[in-house]
Amino acid sequence: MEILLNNTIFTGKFLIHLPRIDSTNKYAADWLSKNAPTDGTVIIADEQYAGKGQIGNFWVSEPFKNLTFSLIFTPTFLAISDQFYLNMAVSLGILQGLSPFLPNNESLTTKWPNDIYYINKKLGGVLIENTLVGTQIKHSIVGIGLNICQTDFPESLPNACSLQTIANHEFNRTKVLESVCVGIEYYYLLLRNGRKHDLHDIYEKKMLHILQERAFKDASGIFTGTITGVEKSGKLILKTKNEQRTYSFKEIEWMW
Amino acid sequence: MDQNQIKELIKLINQTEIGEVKIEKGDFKITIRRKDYAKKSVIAPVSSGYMPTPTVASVVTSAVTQQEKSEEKPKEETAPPSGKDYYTMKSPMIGTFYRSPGPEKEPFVKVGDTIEKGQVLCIVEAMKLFNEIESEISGTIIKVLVDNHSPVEYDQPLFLIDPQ
Repeated sequence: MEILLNNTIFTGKFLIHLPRIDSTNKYAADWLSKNAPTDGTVIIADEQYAGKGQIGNFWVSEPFKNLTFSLIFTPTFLAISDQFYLNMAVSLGILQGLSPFLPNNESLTTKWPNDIYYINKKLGGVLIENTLVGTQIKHSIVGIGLNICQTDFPESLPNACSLQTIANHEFNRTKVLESVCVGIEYYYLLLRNGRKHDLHDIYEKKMLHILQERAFKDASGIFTGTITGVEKSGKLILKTKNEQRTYSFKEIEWMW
Repeated sequence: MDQNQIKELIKLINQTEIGEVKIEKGDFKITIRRKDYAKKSVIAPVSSGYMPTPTVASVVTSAVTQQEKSEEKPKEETAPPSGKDYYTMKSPMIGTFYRSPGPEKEPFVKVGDTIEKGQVLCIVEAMKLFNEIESEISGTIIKVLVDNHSPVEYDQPLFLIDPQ
């Protein structure tokens, strides 16, 4: 399969296509230790057998069915304390890129902080790894896993879905990749042009369960609350009957 | 405690052999240190918020926030041999500090390791964004000041490095 991304401006013009790799993020990091970063480099694998999830977790993906790839960016314009904006840009870009392939765009959301959901099922995830020197971001590796044509998921992932399980037909993975890269590039350029507030507003509108009262769980137990947005640091803002709270990742869980 | 009381306290301490007094009451905290009680350590790691100025009789007052309190737990008092200016590598951001790339992986660096400029020393994670922090200097790791998997504040000292 030859991969050519014709519709992007710079993303994926330099593309490394690997048949099989442990992790495209890891490959990208190794590559960056020997080469100068080129903005928009894409590293894609047909099979990723040890994709990175959380520290200690893995991203599970069936070979040749999905998209597992990494993008290299050099957001040296972004303050370290503003790095959650990169997460917003990438998440929004993926949503925009996937929307032409799905029946109902309203159901496509980003589950804070950076999973991609369709209704209440997980369609993909993002894992960003930055390298910092002093007070600057030197480069970012944006790892993306999207379920495209996989229809059988292990029992350990009861909450997973793919484009195919949603739309009931097969997809050309290269077309989806191109569309997603166009979307990410669009929002990345928005960020580079200083449109942080716009990004923030759009991200909040696209959050799963935004402004819906529902059950959550934190260290003190189960409670009812409403997500009202995110702080620029990326902390989740949630309102309960009596107060407004903010949460870091892993401090709060959704009750389904 | 008001200003006059602090002045009184300083006078009192000056008349004694006491080198340093720390008082904590509720959210009030004060440290009074005698000029001649200059701690040998120029680089004693201190929780973010204030730094000791050992050459002047210093009065440091600050409201103790929740965070500072949680950082009050045993800090390295055993400063390394004096007379040498070590470089303190500080956290560029708030987050969770990781010494290794994964739970069963070897730490990036250990005490005594020789490091090169540009070498990754640790990861600080915040909101699922992982940040590998590269060293800005070459040298030797003298001390690791934070435990693996613990929260760090902006500017909190992470490593002591003996510059090459």
